[in-house]
Amino acid sequence: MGQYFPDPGKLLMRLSGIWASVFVVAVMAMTLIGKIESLRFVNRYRRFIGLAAFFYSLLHFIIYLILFAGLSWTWIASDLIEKPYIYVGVLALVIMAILAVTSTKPMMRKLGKRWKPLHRFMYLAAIAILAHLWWQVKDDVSLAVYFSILLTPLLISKIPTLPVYKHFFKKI
Amino acid sequence: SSFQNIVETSYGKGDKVSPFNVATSYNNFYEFGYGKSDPKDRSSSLKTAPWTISVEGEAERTGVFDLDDIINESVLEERIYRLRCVEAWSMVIPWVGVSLASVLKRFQPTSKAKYVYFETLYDPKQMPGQLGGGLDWPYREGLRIDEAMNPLAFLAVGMYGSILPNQNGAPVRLVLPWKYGFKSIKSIVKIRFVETMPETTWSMLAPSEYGFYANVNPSVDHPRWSQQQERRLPGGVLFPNVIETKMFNGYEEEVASLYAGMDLKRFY
Repeated sequence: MGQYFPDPGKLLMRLSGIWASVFVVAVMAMTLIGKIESLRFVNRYRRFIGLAAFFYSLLHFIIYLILFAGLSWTWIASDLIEKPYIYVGVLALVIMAILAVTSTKPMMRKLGKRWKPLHRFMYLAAIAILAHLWWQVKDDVSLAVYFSILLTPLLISKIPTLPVYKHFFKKI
Repeated sequence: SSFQNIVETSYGKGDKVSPFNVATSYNNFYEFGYGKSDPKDRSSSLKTAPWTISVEGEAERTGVFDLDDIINESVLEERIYRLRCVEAWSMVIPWVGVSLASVLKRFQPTSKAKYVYFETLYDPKQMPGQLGGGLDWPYREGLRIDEAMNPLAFLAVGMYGSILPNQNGAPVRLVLPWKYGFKSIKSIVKIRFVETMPETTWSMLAPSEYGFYANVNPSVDHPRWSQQQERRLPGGVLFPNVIETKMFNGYEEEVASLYAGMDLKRFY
């Protein structure tokens, strides 16, 4: 098998990362689309897509640990400590893990008013994902560009709802 | 296309040679695209014969030479060398060629020749990757003259007993096993003896990440890849072969003296 797939870990790591990012784009787009009266039904699938984004991110991390870094502690430790693109990736994963755990009905009830502000951290996770992509560019910028094109408008659309700007945007 | 009477050498004893398929399908050769398999898929457009090399600069014998006149096929050697990429993967490859010094000496470099500069073919018709931006084409590399004359420096025209496949830098490339792979410039069309340190492609792109020397050094980290260990390809089904990276890729005995007294953290 090694003959035909010299570096399976790298390949799978890339694919799982792409899928994780696709689901992140999808869940954020759904938030926007779900506001349109006739397209409200998409809100029903938002949780599922959000969880898919988390599971692919988790899979991506597990593939990195086992198939790519071979569970070498030297390798992983130096990445986690020194490589900015790794720790912004981990930040995105941690945020999504918290959001996944608090995505259930009972947790929504328990958190009440605090649920929405907490889940807005998804936008921070998206920024971290963009940083994760840009920081690891060697020469080929294509992936970083594609996801920037998809995520930037979705991030900008959220600016009016930031607490600092809310007041200002309400006036106009 | 396989060579006759290749002289075997003792290099590479104890290293397990990477399978031919791996060495020819996992390549960084951006002239044919960014993906690791792009060079194999897209390099058939490269025409490798006839091939000339322009020899210029501070040498007695300069001019345009036919590759066949530069490499004497009757004295080809096989050297099994470890190849360590700056991206923290590595392979073991049996190269066929001649020592770089034996070729350079024939051009009789003068005392002004402090460095040697190399250039890859620039022809977007044959190398479609050059149509895109990314790197500043043509690909450029360089060595200090004493590095170039070190017996370990090798000019390869073949691998695995046959001529170089296009994706591996046909028809002629450098192999510098104590340096990161990007120093081993492929498809060479120009050799220039110069007085001052030449600009080289990757250090032009990101000088803080890629230095002129680019010696394999586990204690100097790259911003994206830890250099303490490497993944020897091909990896296993479940686990990659993660091994320790050695100083000068294990060729310390042969090349350490070139850098005596130099701060290799500064001159990375």
